[in-house]
Amino acid sequence: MSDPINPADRGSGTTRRTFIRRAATAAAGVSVPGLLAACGTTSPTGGASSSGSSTTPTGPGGLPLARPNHPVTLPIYADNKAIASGLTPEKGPLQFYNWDQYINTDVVKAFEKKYGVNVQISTFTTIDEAVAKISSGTVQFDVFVPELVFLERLVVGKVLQPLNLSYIPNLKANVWPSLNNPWYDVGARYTVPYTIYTTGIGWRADKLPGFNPATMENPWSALWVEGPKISGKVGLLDDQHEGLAMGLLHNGVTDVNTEDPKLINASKNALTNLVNTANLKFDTNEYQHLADGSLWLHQAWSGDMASTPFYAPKGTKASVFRYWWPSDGRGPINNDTFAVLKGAKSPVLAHLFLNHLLDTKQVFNNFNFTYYQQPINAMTPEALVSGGVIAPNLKSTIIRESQFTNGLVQGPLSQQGEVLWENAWAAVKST
Amino acid sequence: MSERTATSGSYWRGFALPGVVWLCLFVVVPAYAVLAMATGKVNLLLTPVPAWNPATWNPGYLSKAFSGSLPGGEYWSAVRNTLVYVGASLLLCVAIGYPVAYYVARHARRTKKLLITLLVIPFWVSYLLRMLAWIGLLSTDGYVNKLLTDIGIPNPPNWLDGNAYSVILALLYGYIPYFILPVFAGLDRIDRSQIEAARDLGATPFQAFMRVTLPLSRPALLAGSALVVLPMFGDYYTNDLISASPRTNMLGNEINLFIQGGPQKNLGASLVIVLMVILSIGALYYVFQTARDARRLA
Repeated sequence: MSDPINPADRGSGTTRRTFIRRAATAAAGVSVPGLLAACGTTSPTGGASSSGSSTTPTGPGGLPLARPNHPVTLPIYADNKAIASGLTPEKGPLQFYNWDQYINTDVVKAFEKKYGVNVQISTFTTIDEAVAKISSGTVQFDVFVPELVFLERLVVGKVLQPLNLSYIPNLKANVWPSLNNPWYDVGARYTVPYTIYTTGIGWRADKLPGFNPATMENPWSALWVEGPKISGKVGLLDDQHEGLAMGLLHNGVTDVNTEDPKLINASKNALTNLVNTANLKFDTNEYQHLADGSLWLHQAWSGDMASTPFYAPKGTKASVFRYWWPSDGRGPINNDTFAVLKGAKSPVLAHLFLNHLLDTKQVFNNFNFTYYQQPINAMTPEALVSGGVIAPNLKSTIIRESQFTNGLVQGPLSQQGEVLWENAWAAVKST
Repeated sequence: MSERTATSGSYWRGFALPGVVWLCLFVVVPAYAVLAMATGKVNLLLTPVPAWNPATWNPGYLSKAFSGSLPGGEYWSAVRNTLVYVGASLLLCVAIGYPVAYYVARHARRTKKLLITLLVIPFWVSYLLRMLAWIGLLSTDGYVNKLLTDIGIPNPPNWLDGNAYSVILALLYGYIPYFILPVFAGLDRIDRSQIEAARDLGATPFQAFMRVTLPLSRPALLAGSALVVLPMFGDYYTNDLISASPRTNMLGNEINLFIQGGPQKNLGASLVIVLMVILSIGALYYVFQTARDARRLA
C-alpha cells in the first residue's frame, strides 16, 4: 500500500463534503439558469416497482420514495436504453464531472495509462449547480456522481443512462453484496456505489477528558448535555439533512426522513435552543476546527474525521481525536454513487471507468486521498488500521457491511417534505 | 441654424447608445430575470424555471419574502442584522475613512503618491484571502489577542465567537478601501481657493471645513458610501467565515441558503427582490442628493 497523502496537501486543503455548503455563488445575484422546461415523462417500459406497501410516499418524479424497507427498481425507458455488450471503447477523452477534491488523481492517471485515453475532470460545488449545468445540455459529460436524494429525479428526467453491468464485473466481485443490489436502485440499473459515510460526533479527548457519547443514555444528546458547559466550542454540520437529523435523534426520533411537521418542528426547536445555550457554530470544516482546537465537539462526517490528524498543528497528537457513531449501526449513514450520463459521448469508456473505480487496488489508493471508505469487501477497519492508513482511535470512522445495512439512511423526500425541511433549517439558521 | 442644432443633438445623444445598451443588457434584463425567477417555479430537477410572461407570474414566494422580511417575520432577524451591520460599518467607514482621505488629499505632500499606493494595495489581495487572514489574526491565541495581552488587557475578547462586532469590523476592513478612494478623489478636486476665500472672510478652520469642504465633498461621500453599502448588503461570506453563528445571520446568508440548493430557489430570488427594494430606497436618496448638489454647484 502506498503512503497516505496528507489531505492538507491537497491544494485547497478541503474535502468533497466541505464543498456542499461552500459554493461561492454570488450572494445578491441570481444567475439565469438554463431554461429547461419541466421534464416530460414517458411511460416506462420497465415500470417503477416497489416491494413496499402501497402507502409509500411518492417522490417528485412519480416514483415511490426509496427506503431500505421499500426498495425501488428504477424504470428503464424505451428511448433511454443501456449500451450493447462487447463494444470497443471510444478514444476519449472521457469527461468526468465530479465534486471538487473527491478523487485521487493517481487513480484517474492509472485509468488513462491502462486504456491510453485522456480523462478530463470538471468539478462542481453544489449538486443543484451540477444538475442545472448537465440538464441545460450546454456541456456533455460522461461520468457523474449523483447523490441518493437526487437519483430518482435524475432517472425520471432521463439525465442518466442505464448501465450495462457486463462492463463492470468489479461490482459483483468486490462490492458489498448489499450494495450490488441496493435499495435505492434495485439491480444496479443506473448506479454503482462510490463512498459511504456515517454522520456521528467528533471531539477532542484532550479538551473533554472523560467525555464519551457511548456512555450517555442518549448519545445523540451529547451536544445538548456537554454543549452548554463549553459554550462557543460546539459545532454542527451546516447541512440541513444532517443538522435536522441530529435534532430528531436527540428527540428520540430515528426516522431521519420524516415528513411529519411536528417532529421537524421539534427538531428545529431543539437546535434553536442549542444555538442559544451552546453558542453553536455551523460549518462543514469540522476536521479543521477540531484539528486547530477552535472547536472541541462537532457533529462530523466519518471521512472528515479520518483525515483530521493531518490538519493538526505540530504538537497535537493524532490520539486526541475521537469519533463516535453507534456500533450497532443505528446512526445516519449515506453513500454516493457513480453513473453514466445519457448525453455521454464515450459511454463504453465511461462503463470501464466505473469498473476501474471499483478495483480493490484503486479503492485503497483513492482512500489515501479522500479518506472516505468505499464499500469494498477488502476495505475493513482492521485493514486500514493495520496498514497504518488511519489512527487506531479513529477506527470507528470505518464500518462493516453489517453496520451499514442497519444504518439510518437519508433517502429522497417528497417535494413538500423538502420544503418543510428547508424552511425549518432556514429558521434554525436565523435564530 | 435650428436644423444644425438638432443634428448636433442627436449626434451627441448617439454617444449614450453604448451605455444604454449596456444598461439594458446587464442591468434591466438581469433584474427582470430575477423577478421572473422569483415568480416562477422549479422543475423536476429543482432547476428554476423563470416566468418570463407576467401573465404567468406566481406571486406566492414574493409575498412570503416581503411579509417575512417585516418585523416579526421569519426573515426579519436577517433583515435587521443586515441593516444594523451595514449601517454601523458605514458609520465607521466615514469616521475612519474620511479623515484618512482628507489627510491624503489635503496634507500629505511628498508622501501623497506613496499613501495612495498603500491605499490601493489591499485591492491586490482577494477579499476572500483577506478575510481568511483575519481568522488567523483574530483567533483566541492569534496575533491580535497576543498584542492585547502584551499591552496589559487581561481577558481579550474571543473575536470569532459569533459576535456582531466582529462581523461589523470585518465588513469595515473588507470594504473601507472602496470608500476612501472616491472620497479622496472628491476632496482632492476641491478648489483650494474657495477654502482660502472662506478663511479670508473670517471663517475658522473648523467653520471653513463645515461650510465649504464638507458640502463640496458630499457627492464623493455619497459615491463612496454607495460603493461600500451595495456589496455589504449582499455579503454573506464575511459572516460565514468570521461568525458562523446563526445569531449574526444576514439577508445574504438567507438568500444563499435558498439559492444554493433545494426546492425553493424562487424564494431565494424573491429575497433578492426584497434586497433590491431596500437598496433602491438608498439609491433614490443618492440620486436625489446628487441631482440637488449638481444643481447647487451649477
